[in-house]
Amino acid sequence: MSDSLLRTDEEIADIYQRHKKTVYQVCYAYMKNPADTEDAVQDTFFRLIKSGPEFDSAEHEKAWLIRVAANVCKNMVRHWWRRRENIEELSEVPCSEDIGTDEVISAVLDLPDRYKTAVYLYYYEGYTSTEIAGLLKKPKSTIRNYLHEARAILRERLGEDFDEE
Amino acid sequence: MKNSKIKDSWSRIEPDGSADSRILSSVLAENRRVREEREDKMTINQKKAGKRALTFALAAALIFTLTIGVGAAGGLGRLFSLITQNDGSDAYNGDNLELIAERMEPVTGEITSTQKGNLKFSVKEAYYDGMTLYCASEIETDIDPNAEETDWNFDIYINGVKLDFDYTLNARRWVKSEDGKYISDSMSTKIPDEFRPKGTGDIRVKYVATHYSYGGENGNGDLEAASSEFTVACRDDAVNIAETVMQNDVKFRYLRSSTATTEVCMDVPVELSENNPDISCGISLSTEDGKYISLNTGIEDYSDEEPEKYSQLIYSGEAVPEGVTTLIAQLNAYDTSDNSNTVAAKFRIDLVEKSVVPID
Repeated sequence: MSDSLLRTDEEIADIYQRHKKTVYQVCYAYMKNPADTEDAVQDTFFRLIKSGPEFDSAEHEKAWLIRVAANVCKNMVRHWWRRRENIEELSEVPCSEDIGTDEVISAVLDLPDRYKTAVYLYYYEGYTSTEIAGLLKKPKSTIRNYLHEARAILRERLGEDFDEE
Repeated sequence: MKNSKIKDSWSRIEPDGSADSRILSSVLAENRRVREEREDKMTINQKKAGKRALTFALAAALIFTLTIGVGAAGGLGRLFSLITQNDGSDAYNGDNLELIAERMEPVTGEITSTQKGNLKFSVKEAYYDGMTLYCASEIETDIDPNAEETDWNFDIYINGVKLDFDYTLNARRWVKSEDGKYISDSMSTKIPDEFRPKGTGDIRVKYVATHYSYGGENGNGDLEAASSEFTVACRDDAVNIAETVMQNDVKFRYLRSSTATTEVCMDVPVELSENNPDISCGISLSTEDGKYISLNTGIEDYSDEEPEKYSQLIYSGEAVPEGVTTLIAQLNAYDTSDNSNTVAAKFRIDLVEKSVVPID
């Protein structure tokens, strides 16, 4: 894109510092291990550099990164699926490594991929389903369904530990 | 905080110090590389910039609607077919539910193009070997023409089994349907400017995808060898009447009609639609001489205006026949306790004047 924004190293470093934790958490939800998460985070910021989008606000910037991070991860997971018949051991990868995960987060990480970003944004970032629909560019009803189905799975897996307030 | 346990657990996930510096240094290295590459190119491309701006301005001036035609034979013949082929793998579906050599024929659907050149793809209903695959509202997706990939997600039901269908177009080509010649291998979803409609009438192009994936609860799968294609007919004479008209606390919201589909929307008070288990509401559409327009898909959702007070009913189906200038849309309330049918609201829609009035 010839009209994309070229940012200085300082600007890129600022954006990275502002959103590294968010992007890392979104990526970890899909990749489930630090090594692949690191690749995905890196790739997300590479896309920021290459696309050079202009942002209206910090929220816009964050929303863009979350969406791109989720897409990067989905592509990486799909890529594994494509190669799965050639690389037998990939059936066991990605797997959770010790990064301080507990039963609750493990249950979240085991959710089907399509629910993860919505669950992250709803429970961790505190967005409403309408805001998530806007962020992810999906219909509100889709997001409500994702959250409803994810909640049902979490209740089943966590039982009393999943006590929504 | 909606669930402190999830929030607490998630907050512990972050890059450690060494990963943090590794990522940042590779990101900055990439930034320098891209800057250098881009600055070199900018010098060369200055002359081309003016030409590109003019092309974009012309493209932005057009608003039009593309319509995916009906599978059944008509004046234009079959306009839409999606053909997939099994690649022989038995593990491409996350739930191991096989979809093999079939043809999917969406009955109603539309692609809408916006001023910016984005496409919005929506399918209201599809058939799979004669079975209804899908009839819900969630297939509608805005497509960013600059996105590296295009996908949309929806659920389909096959013999009662739900599948999450994640359709990804990793390659696409616009093809002139008359001679089958490819006109673009671009990854962009933009229709090339020279094939955009210049006035009323059909322009038919073929849109080819050579890859898609779909998945179930256990993950996504890909069909490398799959191919799909559909032809779209473009028209710019669709009727779009968006006007809120109230009768008996029922709101008529809009009617959209194109060469292949009609969609009508009303907001219904929740006392009528949700709070009464015996009552079932539905929209019917007919011509003034009593001929019904078949509306085979009904969706109920919260109203976007007053979700606590109204449910939104969106019904869609066949196109309005040529020559029809007036339609009657009515909201029917069926009471299952005594099998009675009450007309809760009735509206006359003038397709020429593009106006709506309640009928007493």
